[in-house]
Amino acid sequence: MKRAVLWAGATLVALVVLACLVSVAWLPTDPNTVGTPTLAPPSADHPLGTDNLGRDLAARLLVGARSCLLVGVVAVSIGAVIGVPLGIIAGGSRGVAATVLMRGADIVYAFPALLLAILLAAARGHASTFTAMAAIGLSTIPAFMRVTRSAAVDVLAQDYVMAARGAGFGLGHIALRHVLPNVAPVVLVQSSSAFGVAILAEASLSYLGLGTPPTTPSWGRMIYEAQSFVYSDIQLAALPGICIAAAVLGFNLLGDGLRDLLDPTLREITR
Amino acid sequence: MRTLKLLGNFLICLAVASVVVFAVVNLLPGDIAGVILGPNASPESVAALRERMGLDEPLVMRYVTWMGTLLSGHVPRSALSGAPVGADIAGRFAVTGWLVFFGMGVAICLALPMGAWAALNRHRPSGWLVSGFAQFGMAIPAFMVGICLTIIFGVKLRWFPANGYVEASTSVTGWLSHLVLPSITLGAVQGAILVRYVRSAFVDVLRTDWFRTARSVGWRRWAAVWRHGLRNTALQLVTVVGLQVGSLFAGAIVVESVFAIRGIGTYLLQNVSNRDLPVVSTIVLMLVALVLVVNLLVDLSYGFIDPRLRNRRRLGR
Repeated sequence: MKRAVLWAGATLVALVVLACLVSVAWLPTDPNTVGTPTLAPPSADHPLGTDNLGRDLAARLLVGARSCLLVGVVAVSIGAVIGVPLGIIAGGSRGVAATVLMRGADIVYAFPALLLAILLAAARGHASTFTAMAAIGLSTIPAFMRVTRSAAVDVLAQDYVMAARGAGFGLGHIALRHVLPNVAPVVLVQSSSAFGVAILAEASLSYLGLGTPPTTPSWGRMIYEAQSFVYSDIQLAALPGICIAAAVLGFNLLGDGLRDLLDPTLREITR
Repeated sequence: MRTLKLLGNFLICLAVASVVVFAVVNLLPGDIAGVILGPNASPESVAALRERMGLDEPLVMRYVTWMGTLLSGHVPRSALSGAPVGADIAGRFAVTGWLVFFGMGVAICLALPMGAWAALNRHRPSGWLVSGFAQFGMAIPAFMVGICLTIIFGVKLRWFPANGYVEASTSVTGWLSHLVLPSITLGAVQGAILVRYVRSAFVDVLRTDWFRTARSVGWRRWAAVWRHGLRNTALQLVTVVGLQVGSLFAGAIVVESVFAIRGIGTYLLQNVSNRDLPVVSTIVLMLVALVLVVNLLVDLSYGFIDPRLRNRRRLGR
């Protein structure tokens, strides 16, 4: 019971990952094959029925898991790879350098992922999975910077860091050997939460036609395409909606569960 | 002194943000005139547009011209039609402004009682239920909430219009009724995020010595929360609500699409598909500037909300 949140999150995330792996190995039919019957109920050929163009709903949902995880992994990696080193540097520096770094984070924070994606899509002339991933990734950098910085400030004040400095080790060595391993848990928790945010952002961008292109099935785009049929065939929008909610809930709960596990003092305050 | 420092910071952030927007549009590979006119445009028409937009001038000059236009209170003309778009943008911003205003109202009205309840009952099932409900709300995309509300309250029950927008000058009741479902959609999702912050702010207050003293001298739980809790959580809440303004405007872009509202979001998307870069970059910069202004106002409001901060400053501590 104590770790119910962690287990619930891990289970949901595992389901999404499983769907993604299954989609790589096996699909009921090609997710883009247009045909008849359209708007069919579930059958042996189409386990969840078909959409308005006769495409297999189950196959599209499975491939949708792939798009969702791809964008999440790339976006969170961009955020962590750029945000964590900058956060450590900001934590270890004083005066102008620290101010410039954190003001930079404030400026990036003023650009919501959606606006960045719109700007990138407009500048490149078309939206793509790349512009969506880049925009979402860049917009998660400030959060990674802030959590890493505050954790790094604590670590840098520890006696063993003083001792390492006294022994003549350089800042690079200290950052890699002492700071990074100690901020890793915080970064892990942040990554899980950022993953949830990234999935929601990808879904919104795909819904608006600014994310994954229509040729690749994505949950957000599926909901957009189903909107004209929701009054008669609600499952077309409801199933991808449930998938998005389950994936986001999974990563959010996993993040909360990991945080409780790694820092039980925060448990009561932040749940 | 602090006000001046905050103002200085704000101006620097705004200047850097404008450079970022300009750089993204102008420094990414590809010819702007080619992007605007599309792949099938003739070289002559591309050259003509380059000439009209002044794209052959040095980058710095183009930035200065762009900022000069904006700072003189004007908006660059549309690259496609050459028509002025200032009035369009102002009108669309007004629509989105109301949506965000009511959306924020809904978010606060939902999050304050729910967050306080979850904090007060954090060791009881009812508190867990509220926290769980908020977790669930955070995971649902805004457009899904919008579609569900439209089906139930717009189409099945016919309580509110399913989509569209009516100006307040045409009909006040029509204006309000058209804003109900979009505002709830925007507010519900933001409210779910806010619940967590409200809850943690209240848990902090409930653990303080003075709150325990208030309870021990006879204040009832909710009365003590109302009298002492709300005031002491205000600082954190104003900060969080301020930080959410950016995501509220981003959320409004999605909500406007769901409900076919002619606000700044749909206008922005329309200009993205028209590839009207000057209009897109100007609107993006305006939205970013708005977020920075709200952050500045939040920073400035600390002194008014918490007299301790004001006095500390006056005493030079």
